[in-house]
Amino acid sequence: MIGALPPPTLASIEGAIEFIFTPQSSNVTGGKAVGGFEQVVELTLNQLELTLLALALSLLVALPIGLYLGHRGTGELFAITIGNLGRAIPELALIAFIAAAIGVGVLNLTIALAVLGIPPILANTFVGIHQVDRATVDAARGIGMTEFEILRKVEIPLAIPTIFAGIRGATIAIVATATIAPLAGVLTLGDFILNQNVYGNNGVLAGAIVVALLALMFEFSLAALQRLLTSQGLKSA
Amino acid sequence: LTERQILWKVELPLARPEIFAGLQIATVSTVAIATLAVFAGGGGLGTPIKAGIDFKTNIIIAGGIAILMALAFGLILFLAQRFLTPWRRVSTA
Repeated sequence: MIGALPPPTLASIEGAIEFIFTPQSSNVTGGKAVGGFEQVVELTLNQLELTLLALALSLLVALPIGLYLGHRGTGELFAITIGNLGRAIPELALIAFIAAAIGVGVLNLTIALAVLGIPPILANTFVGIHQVDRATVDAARGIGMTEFEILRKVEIPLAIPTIFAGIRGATIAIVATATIAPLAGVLTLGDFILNQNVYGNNGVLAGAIVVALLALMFEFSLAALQRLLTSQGLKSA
Repeated sequence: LTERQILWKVELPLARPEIFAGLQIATVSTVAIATLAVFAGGGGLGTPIKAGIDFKTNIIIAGGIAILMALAFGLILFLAQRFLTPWRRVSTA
């Protein structure tokens, strides 16, 4: 699927930036130009789509389970074990396996990347909710809040920093790993990096730069979202 | 106690569980991510995966070894932490 890569040498940043904005000639495409702004935007959008889908799936699976277990205070071993095991899975093997066993495509990749995103979100949500002071929860119960109100008005606001730490970790991991998606047939920015023979060293570096910028963008957006979701009363404290 | 003694005799020992938690995460995920080294000419367990990207057995074996290796590193760190934080063994935390 991918040609043999020579040990990459660092091309100049200048060449990479040129690659991002203007199409370059390539040795192997028979005169067809590669790279350039249009292709970079297209691959970036693919990577963005894949990341958002995988993140949505991770949140959909991990948040409810984490909130439920954290609120009940049960399943600590389960949540922590998932959190640890998930980190041990080599994503390259997982993506390669899913591509070989189930098939290529966006849906399969979304599942593979969600496997990467679920553990940190689940573990952090559980820990965040679980570590809320029991006396505070009892007080909330004492003034007549329902269990759901306790979760929504007391536990979640207090657990926001921990939950978001998990979501941010998961997001960075997903957006970074979406780079190897071309191995399973979805062209993301990793195409530039994995196909050095087509795009050249400029393409490799350009791909790496854009992926890094994308990851930073996610990090800043989530930090802003976290500030937005942090209760007013907790900000001054 | 001097500032130096506070750091070495009080703060560092008390921070050990958190330091180990961070080490644990970093170590285990680094072992898993190291399979990607093959793309930078670094070899490793990613080699059979990349070479036989369409063969399930290759992937399962190489992936399995990588997972076991990550867990082994995790276990070593866990044991080291138990050894270095003996007071935690008596409490239920």
